Amino acid sequence: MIKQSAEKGGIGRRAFLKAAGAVGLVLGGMPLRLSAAEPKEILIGDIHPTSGGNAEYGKACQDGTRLAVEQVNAAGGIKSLKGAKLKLLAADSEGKPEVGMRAAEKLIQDGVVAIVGPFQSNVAFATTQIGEKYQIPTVIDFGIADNILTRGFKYSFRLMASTDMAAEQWAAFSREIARAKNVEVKTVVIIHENTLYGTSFAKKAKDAVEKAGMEVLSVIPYPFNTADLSSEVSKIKALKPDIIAPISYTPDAILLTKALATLKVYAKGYIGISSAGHGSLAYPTSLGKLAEFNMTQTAFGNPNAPKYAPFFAAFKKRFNAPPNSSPSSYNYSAGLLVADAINRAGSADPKAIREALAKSNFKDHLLCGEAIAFDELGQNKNVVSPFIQVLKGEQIVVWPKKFAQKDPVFPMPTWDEILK
Amino acid sequence: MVLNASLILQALVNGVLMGSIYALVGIGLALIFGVMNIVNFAHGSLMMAAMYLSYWLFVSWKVDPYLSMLATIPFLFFFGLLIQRWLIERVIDAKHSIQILLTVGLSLFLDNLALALFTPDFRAISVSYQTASLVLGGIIISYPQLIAFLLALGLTFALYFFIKKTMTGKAIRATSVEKEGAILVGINSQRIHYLTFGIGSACVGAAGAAVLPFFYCSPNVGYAFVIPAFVVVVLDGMGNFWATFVGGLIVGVAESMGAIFVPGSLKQMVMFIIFVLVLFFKPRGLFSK
Amino acid sequence: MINLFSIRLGLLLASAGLLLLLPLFLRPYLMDVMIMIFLYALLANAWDIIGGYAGQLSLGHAAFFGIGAYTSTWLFVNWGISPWLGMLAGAALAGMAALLLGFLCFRYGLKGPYFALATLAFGEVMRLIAMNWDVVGGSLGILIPLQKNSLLYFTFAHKIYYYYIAFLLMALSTLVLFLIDRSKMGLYLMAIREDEDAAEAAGVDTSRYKLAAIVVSALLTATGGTFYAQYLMYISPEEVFGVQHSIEIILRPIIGGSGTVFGPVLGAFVLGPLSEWARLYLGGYSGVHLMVYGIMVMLVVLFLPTGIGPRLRDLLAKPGRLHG
Repeated sequence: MIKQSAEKGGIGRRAFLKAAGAVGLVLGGMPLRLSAAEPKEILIGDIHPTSGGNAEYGKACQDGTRLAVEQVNAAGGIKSLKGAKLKLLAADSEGKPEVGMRAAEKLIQDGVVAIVGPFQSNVAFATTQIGEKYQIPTVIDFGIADNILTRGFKYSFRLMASTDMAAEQWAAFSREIARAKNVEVKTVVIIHENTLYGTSFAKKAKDAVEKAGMEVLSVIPYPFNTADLSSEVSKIKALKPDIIAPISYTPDAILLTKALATLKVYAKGYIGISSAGHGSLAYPTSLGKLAEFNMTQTAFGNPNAPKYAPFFAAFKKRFNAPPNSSPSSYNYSAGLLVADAINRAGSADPKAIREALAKSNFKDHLLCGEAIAFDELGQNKNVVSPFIQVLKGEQIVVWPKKFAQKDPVFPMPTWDEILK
Repeated sequence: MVLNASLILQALVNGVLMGSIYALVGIGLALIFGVMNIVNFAHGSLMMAAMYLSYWLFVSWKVDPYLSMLATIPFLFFFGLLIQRWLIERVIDAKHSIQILLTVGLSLFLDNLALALFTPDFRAISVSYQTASLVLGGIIISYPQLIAFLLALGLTFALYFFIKKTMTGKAIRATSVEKEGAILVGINSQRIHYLTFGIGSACVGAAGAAVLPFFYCSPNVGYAFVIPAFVVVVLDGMGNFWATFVGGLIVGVAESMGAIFVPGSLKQMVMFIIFVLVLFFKPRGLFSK
Repeated sequence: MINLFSIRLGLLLASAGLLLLLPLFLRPYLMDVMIMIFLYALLANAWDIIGGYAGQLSLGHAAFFGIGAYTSTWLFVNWGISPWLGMLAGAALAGMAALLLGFLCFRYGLKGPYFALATLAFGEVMRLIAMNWDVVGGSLGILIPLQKNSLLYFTFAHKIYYYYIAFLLMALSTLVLFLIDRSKMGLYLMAIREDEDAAEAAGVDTSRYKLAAIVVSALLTATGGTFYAQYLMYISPEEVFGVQHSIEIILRPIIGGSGTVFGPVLGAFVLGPLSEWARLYLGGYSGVHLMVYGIMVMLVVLFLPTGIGPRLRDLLAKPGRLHG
């Protein structure tokens, strides 16, 4: 009888200890932001549209972040946190603010300490609000609307040049290239798609161009999903500007170029103002010869950066396709930046990460510009949106000289010469 | 604003060229509406399908888009026929709302199927004669658009001939005017409906291939053409193919003229204003059903 | 006595009670999912009045939503007027727009596809106006400057308030639907839906009732617009106007059961989670859930013209129990 009760007690105690151990294992394995002291795994969120009309671009963005996270882990994780690994939680915004908001809520609930993206301004308005509320830093890759950063938020940062910066850079480039090639450039026509994107840039560009002493003959908006741009292009033809400055998405950029060629509209330069469409991969591949010599300012990665070639090769290997320069190199840089900030903070506490981000002087990136450093609004101070030109079917960076691979061709040859 | 005669004339020409495509798409829609009293909201999706087919033929086997019509027209014909047989036929006598919802659902399905299969990437092609053009007195007429115009014109003529002069055409007309009566005189209205939906779809099969050289292909591309097509249908339903054709030209010209005189993105308003005016004020003697 | 009615009432009260208690256990993410379900249920109910009961398919309901959103937001941002008052103003404006649209359509005898096309055109025209009119922000839209927690200014730091307001809106709109369903108006609307000519011949003033239906529908839809604006703190033409949005609005009542009291709400409760599930787990495949919705619409239209709701109800009403 004594043996029995001893056995009973023994079994009971053992079972209890086993159960407690099991619970302990489960609890210990879960990522808890509370134990920020020495976490094993740090969660980073990424919000981009991976469904809907911008899905390809959104995916390119997330792949960039993904590669960065994987490389940081492969190189030993976060050194100051004893090699803690990063884990990427990628979310789809569907391109809608209400979905972006929900995605941010979920990511934060799941325990992310920082969020990369989104690139769409309307979604960014919503996600940065959530980030600010929970004090989780957000590093936006693009997202051009001014008031994303001017709302007094402390937890939002943006990598790409603001519209003001981009417009000034565009005006400076036009003057410089005119001088360098000894060509007179006095008049500009801006033609832009009419959503927030095109309209914002058009406004800023007009002011910057006029301040630089050139004349804006006309600003021509068009609906981006239009079937036909011949009338708009006819208007440009009648105005005979020195430079045609488009701001377009991809399909309309293609339509625009075809119309310009068909209607034989000649200008000394065809230079996009941060035109995503003209800077897209599809632009030269869809247009063939027609794309030749087209120039655009675009948020390209720096092909001369020491990390660029290895990034290119690694991306191609990992995703079976070469990277789309803008989305992938910017988000790759964002990922590395966040890792660096965590490392410098020596903590996975989002507040500390925010402080580290604000003090960033990050050189190990792929952007065109000096070290990533943010001003008091969270805008990256030192970034330039370079100018690319389609030369022999490839998009080559031609300005500023520091990031250029080749010298630009200016003025543009005539359509007849291009099509020969 | 620099307004001169050549600018306006160029816009007129472009409007006519583009309008012929709207006309072709509209004729297909009008045919279906006239005979079966169904507004096919999936019409744009069908055009999208034709464009993708033509695109893949070009990219895979370098088939010229105009040549690809030999494939897109019959393909869309049969596709339309199947849609009629499997879907539309079941609601042919149902309430309008049911019919509309069916085609709206179909359009939702087809557009997003394309999105899932082909990704949202915009696909454009460049044919060798891309920018070749005819220059008449300072007005530039792009060859691809001119060819599209001539094809649209030719197809309209062929359809007109078919409807007016052939037995089958007469049967179609009879069914549209008075279905019960047509059945009484021995016309197989079911077969007529198959044929009609097939022909209506074949129209966008042609239109899709015709616009590929100067437009682009994407899952939502149908929207850009289906709204003008609706306007065309409402302007003049199935009274007279030529009236419908001219209706298409009017819509095209209104759009391109609008783009000249009205600040850029409001040009779409011009089309809608016409649409609305026509909806309210055009007498619809044929559609008193 | 236990009968079908009291069972249904019991179920209704139980679900309502559950929903009212739920937010106490939900974290913000799931609360957000519920809030959007409630919002779309409101819009679905509103649409059902004209689209389901009256059988006039409107493909431009986003216009009323947008009018509500823009009106209250503009008044708030520019003149500091409380969004609650703005909501009333927005509803009034939407109601007037509906009156005008309805009057023109019904006066000119636009029925069936013509009415659908007219509403489509209306929706698109509103979108174009918003896109091109600088006074309302043009394509940039309107960003609502962040406020402190304030009931007066319809801004809350905690989602739970939005939850209860959305729930209230959903409940009220369902009540409206219920009242219409049980009233003479509902009867007339259904008669108009089934055979307008016969109804006219029987002495029903079809224009008047259709007009009433579309106006009430617009009023309710607009309140949803104001709620959305205050919840997201940002509106732009693409978000609140547009055909895509109109289609989203009609999916729920159609799949759930148009022309019924609970069909629209059911549709919202089915499609909401489904959308979110698809977003989380099918993210890589663009548009698959919309494709599924397209199929669902077609299936419902072909085989369940009254929607899933009534069919479910019939299934649940076991034979042998008291017939209601």
